[in-house]
Amino acid sequence: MKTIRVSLPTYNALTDTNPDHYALYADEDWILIKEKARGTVNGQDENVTHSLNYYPHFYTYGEISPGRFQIMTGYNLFGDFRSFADSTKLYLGNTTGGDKDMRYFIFYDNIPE
Amino acid sequence: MTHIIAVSKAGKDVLTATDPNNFIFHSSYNTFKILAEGTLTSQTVNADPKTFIVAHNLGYAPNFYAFCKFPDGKTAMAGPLSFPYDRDTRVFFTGPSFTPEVDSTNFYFILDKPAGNYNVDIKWYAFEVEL
Repeated sequence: MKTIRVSLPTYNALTDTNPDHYALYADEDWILIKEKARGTVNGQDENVTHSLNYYPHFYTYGEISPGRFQIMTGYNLFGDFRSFADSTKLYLGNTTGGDKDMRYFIFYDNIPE
Repeated sequence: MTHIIAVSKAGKDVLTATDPNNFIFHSSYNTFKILAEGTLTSQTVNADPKTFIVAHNLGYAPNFYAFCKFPDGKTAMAGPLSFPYDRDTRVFFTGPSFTPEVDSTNFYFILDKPAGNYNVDIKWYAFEVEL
């Protein structure tokens, strides 16, 4: 098999087999690559249309106080934020009672259904 | 003429593939770079809630992610958890929540203490993107 490897400084791309020592290691698939979109929505029950027709990898963050962000989870009864996706949209919500900024990053990487 | 660098997955033709999921790397799409990472080991949750603070010195609030390892040996992402209760009994809303937060100075790893003290390990990653 042919591959491409770009090692980090001090590591030998010809002999090193630890993926953590590489900037690019094409022997394996990666996560967190191929960003599609990023942005901010403000409100309580918002959504972003991605139109990928599959469930994408995503990260979301809610601004819990000015300049301070919390990782949003799927559903937390006692939490302030929640987010989830389907094959067309990313949904972002907050239950703080007021409008909040919510940051999102959507990737092309497909989460198998 | 636009030039690109692309590496397709095994079995995919790099010259004709168009689905981003068929590439290991493609220079037309941004990749997330890890700027910093760190680990907190054997941290005792002795308050409810307990906040562990780590300075990141980046000068802005970065996109980040974190994982927490609990005494039962399980590692979890952010959110509500069932530890220390038996997962199989599905006792919801009684375990601690692991809530990671960030601002321009620090990471804040917040854990609830529903029962006695317990120790955790926390692994965090800071990406290059500013929130």
